Amino acid sequence: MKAIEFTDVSFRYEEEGPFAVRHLNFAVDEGEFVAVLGHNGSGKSTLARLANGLLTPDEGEVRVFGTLLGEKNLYDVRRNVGVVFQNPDNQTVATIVEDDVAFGAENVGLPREEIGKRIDFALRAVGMEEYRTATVARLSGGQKQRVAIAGVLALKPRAVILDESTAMLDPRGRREIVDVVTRLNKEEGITVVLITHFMEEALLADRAVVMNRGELVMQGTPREIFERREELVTYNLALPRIGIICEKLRAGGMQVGYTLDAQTLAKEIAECVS
Amino acid sequence: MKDVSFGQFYPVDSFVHRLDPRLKILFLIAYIVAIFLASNFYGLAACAAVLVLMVLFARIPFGKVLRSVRGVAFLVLFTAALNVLFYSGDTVYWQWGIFCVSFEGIIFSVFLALRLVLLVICSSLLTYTTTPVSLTDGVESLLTPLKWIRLPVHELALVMSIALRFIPILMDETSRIKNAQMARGADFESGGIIKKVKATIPILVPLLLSAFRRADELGDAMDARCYTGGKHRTKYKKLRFTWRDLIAFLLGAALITGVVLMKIWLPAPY
Repeated sequence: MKAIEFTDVSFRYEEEGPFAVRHLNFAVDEGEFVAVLGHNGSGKSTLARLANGLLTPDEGEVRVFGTLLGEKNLYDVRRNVGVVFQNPDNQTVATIVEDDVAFGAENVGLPREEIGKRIDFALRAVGMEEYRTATVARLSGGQKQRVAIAGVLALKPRAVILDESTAMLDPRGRREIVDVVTRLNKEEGITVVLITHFMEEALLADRAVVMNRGELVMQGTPREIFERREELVTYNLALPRIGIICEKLRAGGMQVGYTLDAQTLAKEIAECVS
Repeated sequence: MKDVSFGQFYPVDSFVHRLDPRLKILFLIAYIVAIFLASNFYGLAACAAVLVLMVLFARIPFGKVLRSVRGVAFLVLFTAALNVLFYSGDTVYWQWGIFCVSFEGIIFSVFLALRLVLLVICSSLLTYTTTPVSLTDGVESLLTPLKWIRLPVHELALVMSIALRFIPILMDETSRIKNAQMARGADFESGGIIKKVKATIPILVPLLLSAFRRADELGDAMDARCYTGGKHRTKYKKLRFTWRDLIAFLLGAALITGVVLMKIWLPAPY
């Protein structure tokens, strides 16, 4: 089944304004891990908002696990598709970790015992069970964002969209988030859509798509995408660091292949040198 | 800016922290009533003693408690000074035009200042020992009867808790903007009062803009987590009245009774 399916979707924020998303056809399979790449203003955040009904398309239709998104089923859809946003400070409602994680579960009217179980599950899934009664404000950026993910997981969604959730974090925090979502995808079978402009993060995905000016311009496995480096540059996207190192080594005359795996590159360099 | 401690939860586990938030709110109200009922120093001394006891039970360092007073120190001194100058008493020490310093005026000002200080300490004790969420739950629970007259009680309580949660974030933001403006050569120190007030505009405008942006994002995040208002909503934490609450309740009741009794039978001093 398709987890998220966009059919010929167009959307603009203002009438007569430019389209943020134009005739977009895009689908994510259930259980898939898809990375959405794009420069600022490419329409990738609009995509996230359209997928859980925060925005309604001007044209075309959005289906989530087979249900056509409309006024009536908005909250059913939101239970199935959780969104984690960019700024951790602006998405926590409560001061204490467990209170914030409980928020979503309380909203849908679950009984107390069930909310308690959901908090256990969600905090364990993001590796924050020790911080259950901690103050959110005292956590690091990566930890705050993991709490935000837990808050979404408490609703037991079948898909999670991360809308540039790593953009404000330091490299270590980014690593934490990518690890958590990869594990959720592999172990819990949750469909993951990771929206980012950091190429490195796309490497772990099953599939990567590139957006530019509201259109889907490239798609394939992360490897395939990064092979097409001239094209990426025209969409204002930079290569992952390892890719850049490969390029530089090759330009300097070293016989290494183009790879995105640090281990492989290390081996090739070792062979060249010896 | 960092040490503005009003409205910030102080996370330790203590007797006071574990009290039912409803009781704490009612206790605060009772305490305020007691402060203003107290008509002599004995009464105020009793109020102060109860407060010291509460602070000790709450395991909050006294330095932290006093810091909450610092924010209103100017206000307290200012009103006290005005009262000293304008109170018309019988035992006049000094008079000049409409200004007059009298024994009664001084006593009155000292009383007022003490009351304000106790009031501020007791209210910040409430926010030190109660997380915004349980404070909200308490307010919501206490105001439940008002749902009868269609007051959106749940929404009001939520607004309150979010406002409390954002105080430290907006404080940080203010100092960040201030530093950014100072780095661009803005001058917040010199000049008269009008110039100083004008100088805050470059801080307030970006602060307001960012607050709106944050509100917008928070709204989206709440929407995405299925928030639809108070209907059909359940609560993870249940409020429960325990033996601790009984003790605190008795303490509050004893304080009010004591103050009233002192008012009747202990007329002096002042």
